[in-house]
Amino acid sequence: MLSYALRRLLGIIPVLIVVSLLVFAFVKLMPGDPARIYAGPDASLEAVDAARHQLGLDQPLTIQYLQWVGNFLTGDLGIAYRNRQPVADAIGESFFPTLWLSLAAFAWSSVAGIAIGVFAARRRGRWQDYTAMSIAVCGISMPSFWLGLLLIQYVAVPFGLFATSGYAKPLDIVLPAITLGSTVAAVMARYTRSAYLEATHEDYVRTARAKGLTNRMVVWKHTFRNALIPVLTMLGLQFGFLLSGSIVIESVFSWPGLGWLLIESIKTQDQPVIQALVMLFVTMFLVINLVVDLLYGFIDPSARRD
Amino acid sequence: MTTQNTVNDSHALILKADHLSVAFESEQGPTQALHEISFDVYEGEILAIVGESGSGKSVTSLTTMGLLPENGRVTNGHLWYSPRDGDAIDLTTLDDEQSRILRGTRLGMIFQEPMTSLNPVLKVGDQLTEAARLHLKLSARKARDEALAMLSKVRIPSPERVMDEFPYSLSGGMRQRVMIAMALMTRPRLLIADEPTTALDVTVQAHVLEIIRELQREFGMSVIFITHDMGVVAELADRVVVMQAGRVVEQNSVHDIFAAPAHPYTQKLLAAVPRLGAMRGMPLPHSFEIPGESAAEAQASIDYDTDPLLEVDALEVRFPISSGWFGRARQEVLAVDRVPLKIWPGETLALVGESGSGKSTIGRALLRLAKSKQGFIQFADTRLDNLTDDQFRHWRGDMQMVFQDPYASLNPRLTVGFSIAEPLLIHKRVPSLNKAMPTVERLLEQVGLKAEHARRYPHEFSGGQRQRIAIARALALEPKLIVADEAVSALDVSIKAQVINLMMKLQRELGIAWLFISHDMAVVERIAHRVAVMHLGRIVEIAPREQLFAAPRHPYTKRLMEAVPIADPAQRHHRPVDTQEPRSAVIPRHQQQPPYHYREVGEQHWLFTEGNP
Repeated sequence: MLSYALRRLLGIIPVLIVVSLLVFAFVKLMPGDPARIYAGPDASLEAVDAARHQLGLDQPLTIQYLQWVGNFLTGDLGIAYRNRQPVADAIGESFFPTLWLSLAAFAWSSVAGIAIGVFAARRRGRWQDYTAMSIAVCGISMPSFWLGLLLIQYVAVPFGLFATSGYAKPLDIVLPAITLGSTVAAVMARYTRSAYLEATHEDYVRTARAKGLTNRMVVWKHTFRNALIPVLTMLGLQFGFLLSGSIVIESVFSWPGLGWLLIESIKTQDQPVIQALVMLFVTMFLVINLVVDLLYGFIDPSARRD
Repeated sequence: MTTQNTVNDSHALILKADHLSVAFESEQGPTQALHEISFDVYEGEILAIVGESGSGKSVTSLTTMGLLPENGRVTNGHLWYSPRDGDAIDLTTLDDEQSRILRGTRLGMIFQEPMTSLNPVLKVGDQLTEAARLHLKLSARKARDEALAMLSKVRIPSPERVMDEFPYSLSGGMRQRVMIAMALMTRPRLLIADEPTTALDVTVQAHVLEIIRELQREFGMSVIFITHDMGVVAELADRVVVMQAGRVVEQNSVHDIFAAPAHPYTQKLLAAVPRLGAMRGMPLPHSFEIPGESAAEAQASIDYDTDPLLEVDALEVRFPISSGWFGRARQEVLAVDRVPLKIWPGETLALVGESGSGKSTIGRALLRLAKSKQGFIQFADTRLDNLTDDQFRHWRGDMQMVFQDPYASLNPRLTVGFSIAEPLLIHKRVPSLNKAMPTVERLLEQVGLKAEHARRYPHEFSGGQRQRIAIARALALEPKLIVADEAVSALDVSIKAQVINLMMKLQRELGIAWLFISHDMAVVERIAHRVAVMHLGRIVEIAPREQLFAAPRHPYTKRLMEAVPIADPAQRHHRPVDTQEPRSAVIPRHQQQPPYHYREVGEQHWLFTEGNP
């Protein structure tokens, strides 16, 4: 188990190398001159050249890349062009708002999604099932930024309980979390329902019933645990989806998180910040999926063997 | 052994079906699965319910257990269960809770598929003990002791270890033993075994049957044994109920059923049963005699002095077992170990062996569906083993394959006609689908179907018909050799006999050579000119059919023959139960295997011998 975890952790490295190359290439392909942005709109040509030299932008691309990677590995993420603040500080400030928002959204949506999925599956073909699944389809099809705007318009504004933007008090997290998690909850509900239904047709569930086990044992011990295996993989993927969703939602609610920071940095072509943020997003995505795969081992014993 | 086999000893009824009817609701309306069936089960007897697929035998068992799917319901009749004391209970009137408690305390069931009937995420020990803890209120400790004792009874080696294993680490035979132990944990009065040995190898089947028989006597329980295999019935049952299309057509004692079957369907079923030894004294293969359909016809004899059609030597296939992402394979499965093989034109060579013996891999390696490590392959005077894949494609037309599962081997979205025409189009034998149609229609008629079937889709056909279609497709390129990989194993007995007759007819008419891969010794005895017995990747014995069946030489061949159920209750005999896990062919990577050769012990009769000649 431990060696498996270690091997998987090492497996992340090549992915990160490829991603770093892609990110670097994309940023370099963006139109505009970063030295000009760094020096400011009113700077003279000499000042821009000086800035270019200072930032190492006059070096060949390979050297630039290696330098960036080298600095990155030593923990130096560079200086943001926009406000000359260290990138690490900017990310540090924005990290926790995004973390809380994502966790809140993830928590409610996975619990609700799985619960609704099992509920619908157990009442398959009845009105409860149809209702739950219709709502789920709405949740999947509705663009989340629109849901966010609706919530601001019809919940935040008239009742004044939640802020329409930013966060000042803990309660302010509710609306963005609902918005961010709605699609995930809907996807998980549908997915859990079908995974559960598939598991109910398995022979071992019939065996469990043949043993005269109680309904509760058949459902939770024999069916649900098996249904959870595919559901867990899906959850990992959904977390990645949530991260990308946060970019949009944070803009809608002006949530001072990583997504909002990314949008701002793209607007101002703040290359070091963009690069660092994308690497961070990718790493989080990979780590979460690794965690899911390791969790697998606890649920699915056959995944544990070497 | 506490009691003798108490056939009707007490004449106490334990279960009585009285004009029981069951229907299934579907969107097309109700379908009647059982039509007023009646039968009795007495205490301490083994009642076999026999029938082909769709006969309603499984529905009968599910109704007894109260496990009918939601859309199934009892429409008529009663199912009386007699408790040890008190009045009979009608099982059809129980509510869910009563039925659940009865299942947990008085009834037990074993299912067909040992690989999927155990929960993969729960330890064997947990699955074994949960019912006893729930229903008998045993403590965890007591239940564990019980389970260990029960595992020993079903002859599981090292039960302590197995208790803490997950099912994936057990073989099919071991899992089925665990299933039996599990069903018996609560000491049921009636055990229902639904095709419990169908998915097992014949030697494993023999052990499982022996265990069921032993425990039935020891616990004095009644058993309803559901099967389609008349051989198993003859080995095990006290009485037999024959079912066809949801009706009981005949019931009688096992001796009377076999000696004097009264109903035409029973007669037909028994006639279609391949019986080991039925071909004694006939050197050539004969097709089945099917009453009212076809007479037995002999195949042509083979001149072994001519050049063989296919000659294989030292064929070797190894499958590396990889571990993890970066883990290098340290072990491999030695699937086929330096196997030699010859097939003459118009001959049927049967390759028999149990699952994992490598017989299917040989067939696949010949057609390059599996990658062989080395081996000399010569087909019709041409070396095939050193051809590139591109060059080899040309030869695929001469060697075709028919697979086991007729449901999975035809593309459901293509018409049957297109499926048959496809090889012709790929090999550019015809310019267009339209031009291929006359050939397709001729092929369909050749395999006993109708020309207009070409426009239909696979789901409109039964399993036997689909297998005919698969054969027609294999015939399209006019091959000289067809590899039939368990091609009749999934079919009901009567259908099986028809398809085998078809294969033999095609051999007589077209001179096709068959490499007939099968685990079914009785079928092989019918169809083969010569038989090769495989064990752990090697052919241990190869001989003309009659000689092999009359005088097997290799110990493994003998064991295999011994394990085949004999469809004659008069010849019932005991077999010792083997407690060993089957040996596997897993070896360290690239390990050299010791040399072996073959010794000629009779005409065309070769025996595996270790060491150099």
